[in-house]
Amino acid sequence: MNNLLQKICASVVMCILVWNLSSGHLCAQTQRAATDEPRRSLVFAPTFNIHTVQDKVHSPLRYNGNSFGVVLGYEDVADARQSYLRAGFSTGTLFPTSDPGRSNANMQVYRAGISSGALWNVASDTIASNPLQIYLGAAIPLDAELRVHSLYSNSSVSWDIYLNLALAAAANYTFTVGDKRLYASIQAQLPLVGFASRPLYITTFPVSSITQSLSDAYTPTLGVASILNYPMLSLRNAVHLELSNGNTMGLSYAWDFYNATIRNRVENARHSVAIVLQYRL
Amino acid sequence: MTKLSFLNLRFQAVAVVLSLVFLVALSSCELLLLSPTPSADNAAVFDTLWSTVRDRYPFFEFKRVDWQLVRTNYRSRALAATSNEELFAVLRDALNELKDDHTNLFTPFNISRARPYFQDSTNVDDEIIRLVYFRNEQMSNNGFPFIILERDGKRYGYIRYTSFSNNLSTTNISYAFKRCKDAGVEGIIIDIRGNGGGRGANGVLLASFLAKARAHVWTEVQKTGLGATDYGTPIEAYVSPSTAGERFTEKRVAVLTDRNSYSASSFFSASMKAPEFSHVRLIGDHTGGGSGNPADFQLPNGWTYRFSSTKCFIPAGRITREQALVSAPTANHDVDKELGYNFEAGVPVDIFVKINIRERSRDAVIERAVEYCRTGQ
Repeated sequence: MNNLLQKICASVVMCILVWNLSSGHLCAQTQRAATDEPRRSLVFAPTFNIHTVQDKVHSPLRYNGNSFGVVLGYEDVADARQSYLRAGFSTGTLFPTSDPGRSNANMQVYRAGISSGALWNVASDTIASNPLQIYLGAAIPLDAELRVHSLYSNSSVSWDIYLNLALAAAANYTFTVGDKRLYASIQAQLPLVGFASRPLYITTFPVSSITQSLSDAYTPTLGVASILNYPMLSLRNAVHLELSNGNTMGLSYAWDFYNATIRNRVENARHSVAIVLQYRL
Repeated sequence: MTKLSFLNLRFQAVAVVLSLVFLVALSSCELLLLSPTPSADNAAVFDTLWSTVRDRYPFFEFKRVDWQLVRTNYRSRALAATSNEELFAVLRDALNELKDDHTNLFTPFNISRARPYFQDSTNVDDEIIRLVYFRNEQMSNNGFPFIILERDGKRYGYIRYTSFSNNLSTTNISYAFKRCKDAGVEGIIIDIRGNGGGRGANGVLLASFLAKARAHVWTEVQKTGLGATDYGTPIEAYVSPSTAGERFTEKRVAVLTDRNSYSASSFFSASMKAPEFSHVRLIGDHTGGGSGNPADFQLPNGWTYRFSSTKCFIPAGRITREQALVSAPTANHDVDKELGYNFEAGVPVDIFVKINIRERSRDAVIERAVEYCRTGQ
């Protein structure tokens, strides 16, 4: 099932790519409006995700599955700089990659995140003079993923929470097809250092937590997360079509991955496809 | 080269880069980054179970279990297993060497249990309770049934709580205690014999209705790493008197236990050893223990299993070495003695009483509890 969905998603994105590549001749039409003002917009994006988790706090097995979610955000893109604030939530069910007859285990995954970033144009060109703009900057992603195992009792929950300072890079390309204006973008984040919380080494529910506050019962689980013990990478690509009223509608594909070795090892990868609606302010 | 053709090339270059990124990502490049899916053959399954227990089980020293010997004895049997049922039997037997009822192997076709005190005769007969004591006249009270007993013109509350998995509410407890008080009882008997545990929060709630003051009831230690001595800072657990409902602290309380009073029942019984429960006595047989909070894991073939993951102690000074040896003669009670008494192998009773299974007209443990409530002895 997941392979099929991956193929479908791959096909969709490949279509975008082929269209992108074949539209090279359209560059002849990239005569941009001379007055290119900053685009401030609100973002709404329902997402479909293919999710893979390998959390060794409880299992050596890899879990795969699908999840659905939504991303809300605010973007401010201009010649000189761009900034954004995004918040997202998704949930889904993952299943272990074992002989189906030997396990009826599954896990419910809940992921929530908020990320803000500010990036500056390093090409020093204006969009009017150069449709390709390169930005570099910083981002602060705060993400949390909670996983609830269906078959487990006392230790049915595991989680990853991470707050990072990340390097951020983006490339935007603006062009037209006929009288339609389009924006293509690619963004990448590479967190460098921050904080992370992972479950206890052995159990996620100390029995003492039933008699007092969780903060008193838990051994502190917050640790320093760096690119060494918590390597992460996030890529996001999108193509937007500008509608007549200045709003845009687009298709985005994102891939994010992290591999933490705090207390126990967890590996997490997610492909995400979204229909992105941007309401221009 | 015109500017437009330069842009064209530039755009194509970007498109090619984008394509590579897409292709790399979409070809599931994370598969290169993810750990490989482990082998699910018998050797891998056994080794995963054995090494996980080795690294995380907290009671080897306390129970004097030679886990290396378990590997020697069972690994070859696991490799020789030719069916799921055979492999299950080997893993079950290996786990049961821990003599820990918080140990289970879960498969679609069977669940293992250790039952270390299975050979100990039971110390309760529910048919006698039903026919002689309840006589179908008890208040069911939503899973917390009780009745008022009369002996020699005096009254005693008798509560039978068979599972800490049964939801317990302030309303249930308060109702039972108020009815007992209104009946002018000399004391209350809380019977948790055969109560195999459940939600520890129910035990804490029940204890809060018996506590005279805030009580340090147990100390928990959690494993924090692979090393044999990698434990975190001990965490003290407290029970505070309930601020709602009808507490019972003025008269005597007897808690009836036996070897099948396990896990949450042992935590509740351990709480009763605190000085803030000075009106409470444990009567019957020692509890079955279960001071380790079980954690769950999965094997490479998809089966799941669990075993104790933490250690809990009754604070020092409340259980003597002699009492400890009575309830668990083979255990290594010198371990962690500064933390107190590790009740993994049972909470010792204050008054030891066994029922006579042939005696069909009375329950000797209940009658002994009545005597305690009447005399304080």
